[in-house]
Amino acid sequence: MVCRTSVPANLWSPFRDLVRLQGDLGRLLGEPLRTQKVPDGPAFNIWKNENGASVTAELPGLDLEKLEVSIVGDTVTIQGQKATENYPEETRVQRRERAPGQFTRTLKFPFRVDATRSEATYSKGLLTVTLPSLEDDKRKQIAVKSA
Amino acid sequence: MSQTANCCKPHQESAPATNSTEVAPTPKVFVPQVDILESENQILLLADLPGVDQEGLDITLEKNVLTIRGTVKPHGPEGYQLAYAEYEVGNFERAFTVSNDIDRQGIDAVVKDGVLRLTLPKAKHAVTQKITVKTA
Repeated sequence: MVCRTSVPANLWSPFRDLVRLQGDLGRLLGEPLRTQKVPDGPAFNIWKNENGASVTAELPGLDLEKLEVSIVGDTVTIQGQKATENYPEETRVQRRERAPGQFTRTLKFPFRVDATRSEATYSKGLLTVTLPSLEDDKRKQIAVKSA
Repeated sequence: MSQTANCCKPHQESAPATNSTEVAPTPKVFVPQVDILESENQILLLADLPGVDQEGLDITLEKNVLTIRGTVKPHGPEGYQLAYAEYEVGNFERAFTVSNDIDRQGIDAVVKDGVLRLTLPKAKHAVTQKITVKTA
C-alpha cells in the first residue's frame, strides 16, 4: 500500500506524521480507516501485467457525458464530473459528506500507451480504463548464448 | 429548529460487523459517505456505494434503526496485478436512527451507478401544516 501525502518527503511536516499516526492507529485497532484516500480527488488503483496497465477508480454517480480520457504518449489524463442532482427548491441539507464536483487526474506510465486499443468501462460506480502498451515498448527477453 | 431535523441521523452505536459466516475471509467494512436532504414531504438519503448493485444491497428497518449494508464482490481487472493502491475493496455498512415520523410503508430505494437513493416519506401527521390566520 502506498500512502500518498501532498508534502514533499524531504520536508519536515507535522501533518505527514499525523497522517502516518492515523494509519498506524487504524492498523493497531484493526479499523479499516480509509487513510490512503488522496485528499484532492477520487482514489485510483493501478494494475499491471505484461501487456500494459489498467486503472480502476471508485467514482459513484459519475456523469458519463462529461468523462474524458485522453492519452498522449505515456501520459493518461482522466477528467470527470459527478452527475448533478436536482433537488426541489425547498430542500434543506442536513448532511453532506459525498465528495462533489469535478476531478482531473494525470497518470504517467513507464511505457507509451496504445491509444487505439485502450478501453474505458463504467459499471456500478467503478471506472476501469485498460491501457495496453505499444508493441515497441513491451518488455523483450534476450536469449543468452554461451560462448 | 423544527422537530423533524433529527428524523434521520447516524446511529450512535457502532454496529458490529455480523454475519461473518457468509463470506469466507471476512472482508473489510467501510462506512459509506452519505448526503441527507430534507424537504417538506420527505427525507432523501444518498449514499456512495461503489461496486454495489441491487443484489448486493440489504436495507433493513428494525424498530427505529435503519441499516444499509452493501456487499461488494471482489473486483478488479482480470489478469492484472495490483501495482499501486489508493483504495481498498470492502463492504459497506451504516446505521441510522429513524424517528417515528417516517412512513415506513412508503420507503423507496434505488441504486444506480453505485449511488443509493433512499426516499423516506414523512408520515402524514408529521408533515408541516400551515394554519391560515383569519381576521376576526
